[in-house]
Amino acid sequence: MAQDFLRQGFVTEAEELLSGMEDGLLSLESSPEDAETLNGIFRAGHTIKGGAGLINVEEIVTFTHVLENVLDRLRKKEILADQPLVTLLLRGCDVIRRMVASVAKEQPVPVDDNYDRTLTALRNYADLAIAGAKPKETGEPVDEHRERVFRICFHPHENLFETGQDPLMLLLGLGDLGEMLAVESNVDRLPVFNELVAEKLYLSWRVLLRSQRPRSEVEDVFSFLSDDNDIAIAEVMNCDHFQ
Amino acid sequence: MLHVYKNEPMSICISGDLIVSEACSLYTALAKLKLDTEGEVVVDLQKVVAMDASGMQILLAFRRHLGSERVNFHNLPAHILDTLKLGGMDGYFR
Repeated sequence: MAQDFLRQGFVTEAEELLSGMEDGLLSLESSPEDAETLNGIFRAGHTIKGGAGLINVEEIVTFTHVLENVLDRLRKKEILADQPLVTLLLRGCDVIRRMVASVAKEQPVPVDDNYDRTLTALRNYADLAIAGAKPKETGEPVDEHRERVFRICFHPHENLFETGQDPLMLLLGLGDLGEMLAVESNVDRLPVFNELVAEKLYLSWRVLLRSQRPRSEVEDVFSFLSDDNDIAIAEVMNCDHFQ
Repeated sequence: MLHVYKNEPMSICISGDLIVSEACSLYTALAKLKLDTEGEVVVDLQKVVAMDASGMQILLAFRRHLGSERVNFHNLPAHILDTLKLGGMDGYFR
């Protein structure tokens, strides 16, 4: 029953997000470097991936992960949204839409020739982007894939729910990046029952994450949040505790 | 759909979705409960379908309200326990 609830929620959200992605991609044809549009498309792809992960549809997770990589390179202006790429991304949306439709019908997700060809083409763009990426100016080590431990302090604004965000989905997003060594919730802000406002968020979290992903990917998990959320990410040497 | 009812004088059953869209209903239902005695209160969560951070914090505040030592959460479904672990909240519900 819980899985049904999650699946239906995923299908409804994914269909809306895909429509938004397609509209955004079409608008890129006239303004290929529009940052707001590029960020919106990236967020949609990222959210679909997270939802698919929640209901364990690995085929959609795999596909949207590669799509997300390409979209990330686009928004970082490492590649340009030219006509062939926009066409490929629209084809990618179509592949995802068919997979989502199968999820809605509780049927096996189609991994057919079209899925493989589209995924391969997207991977080519992702690889090209990596090969052509400019050196980062953030002091990021050259060996981006070395294992490291991040301490993430996440103090969401009390109105986070109003923005449609779910803090647990953000924690799930962190979990996708590696191993969650520790998750510590803080309930100090929780008021007494009589003063509690049910739709406000009072919890905050500290997380220790072991990952081979660069810091930028950890930051991306929170990229949808407004500035009034307090997020601190630090690389730490000692993974035994939060200090 | 959310349901909260007293099963016995000191037992509360909660079923349905303990998520932000139902948060006001959950809070109101718990606030209306009359629990007169001072013994152990069992909160049965067996029929909870989904829970997010809003549901977690309401249940936790309710437990503190009655007295943490009095309230015990029973029959947590495995998927709810997983969600609590994800949020680092499982320790409050054991």
